[in-house]
Amino acid sequence: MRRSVSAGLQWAAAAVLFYIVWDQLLAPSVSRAFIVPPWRVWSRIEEWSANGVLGNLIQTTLSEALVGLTIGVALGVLAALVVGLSPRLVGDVIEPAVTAFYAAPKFVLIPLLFVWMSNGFLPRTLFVVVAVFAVIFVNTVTGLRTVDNDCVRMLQLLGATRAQIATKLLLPHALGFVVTALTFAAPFALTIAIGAEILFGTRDGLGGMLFNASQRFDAASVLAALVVATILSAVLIVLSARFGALVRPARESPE
Amino acid sequence: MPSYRLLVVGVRLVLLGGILVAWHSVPESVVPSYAVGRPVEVASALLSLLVSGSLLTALVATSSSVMLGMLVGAPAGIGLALAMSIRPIRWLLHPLVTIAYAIPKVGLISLFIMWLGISQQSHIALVTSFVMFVYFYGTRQALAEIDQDKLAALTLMGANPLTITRLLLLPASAPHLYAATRIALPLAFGASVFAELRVPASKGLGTLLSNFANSLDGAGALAVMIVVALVAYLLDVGLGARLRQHTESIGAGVEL
Repeated sequence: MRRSVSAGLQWAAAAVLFYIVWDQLLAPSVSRAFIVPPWRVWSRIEEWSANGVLGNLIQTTLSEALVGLTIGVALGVLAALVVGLSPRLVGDVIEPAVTAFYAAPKFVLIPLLFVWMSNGFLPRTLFVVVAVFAVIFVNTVTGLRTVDNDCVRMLQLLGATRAQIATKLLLPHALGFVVTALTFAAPFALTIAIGAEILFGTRDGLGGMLFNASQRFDAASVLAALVVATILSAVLIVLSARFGALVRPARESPE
Repeated sequence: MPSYRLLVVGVRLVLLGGILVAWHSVPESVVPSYAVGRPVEVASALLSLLVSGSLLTALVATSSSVMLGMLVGAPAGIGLALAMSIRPIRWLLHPLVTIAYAIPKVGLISLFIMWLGISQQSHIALVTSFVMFVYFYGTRQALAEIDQDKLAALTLMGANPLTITRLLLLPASAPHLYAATRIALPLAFGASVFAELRVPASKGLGTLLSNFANSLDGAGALAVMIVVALVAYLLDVGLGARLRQHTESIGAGVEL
């Protein structure tokens, strides 16, 4: 009880500090037009929730992120299993291409996607799939390829079959990497979906709102969209962390 | 095993050649060349980008945004972490930093356009916002791992803050700052390209790419994308970041 009171006090103090810096220091010295007071942002969000815009924004962006996340994770794990469990040569041959694909900023694909598929839910979700796939694939392959070689040899000496080595050693080892990748894939998918909406210059979703509101210098809408996006992202971060904490001990106990 | 390495390289070359031939022979009616430039066209686009010097200009523009953003973001992140090692400051700032960390950073570009206009400053601001948190969490970890006994001993023996920094803080934080740089530099590159795609201000790689895409020059666009992937690859290999263990330990789930 006392802890929650002191935490409340802490957040209240932080809010006051933020208000002083934002509204009293920053706004007069930069511009009242672009640094609007918090209550105007709040009333914009209320307006959106009254006319149904809010639900629409959240639904569009979240469905792109979650559909893209689900498909990207499934494809990423599957492809990683194919590469990781096939002969070593396969992994070694494609390694530079995988590294370049993983390291390159995926947003450069958007101008091309736009030329190919125009704008809409499908190309944006496809883009989330590609970005999530890269993260999950590389982490899972890393998990499969960093297994202790001595353990593999020992199992081989004991007469384990390939399938047994895969199910008893490789997969449990890789699972930890998959879980870690998963915990940051969910907020990452949201960021990617918003970024894609901004670069596609669409009308839909939080990114579309961010894009259009900044075009017409509507600071209250930009900030309101950012607040909603931040809340969604925070929820995804907390849920992912919970999920990671839930799964991880169960994996480590048999070792 | 030199013969194995030779085999790997050989298979790579054969595969690459096969892909190029297949890509070259896709008929125009199936995939028009404005959508995907053919290998010969892409090569000639790449060559003319090199000869005309616009590729160099783009590389310089993008890396200047990256460098300036790092120059602002790294000290800001490190300074914030140092300031938050003082208790009352940590108490006051912790909620704000937690919220700021959760902001989907790409969205900030819309704010920066309004505040800073269609200028390179918007790119630098976005890079800064990405990089700051990587250094912040890197420094936090470094500070958490400092040997408290050594610190107490140094203080007891009357060492001044400068000596403590030199003897204890810098050696302890060097590996963390290196790990942070390994994450931050590719991230900064991605953020810069993203900002350039949205805000066509400097003549950076992103601007070059969106110009090609807007004029339906599929070969030029693909040439720029190849350059971007190459730069990212070289950064990754150059920083020795092939195994991404540190990504997890710093928890920077913000890769582009």
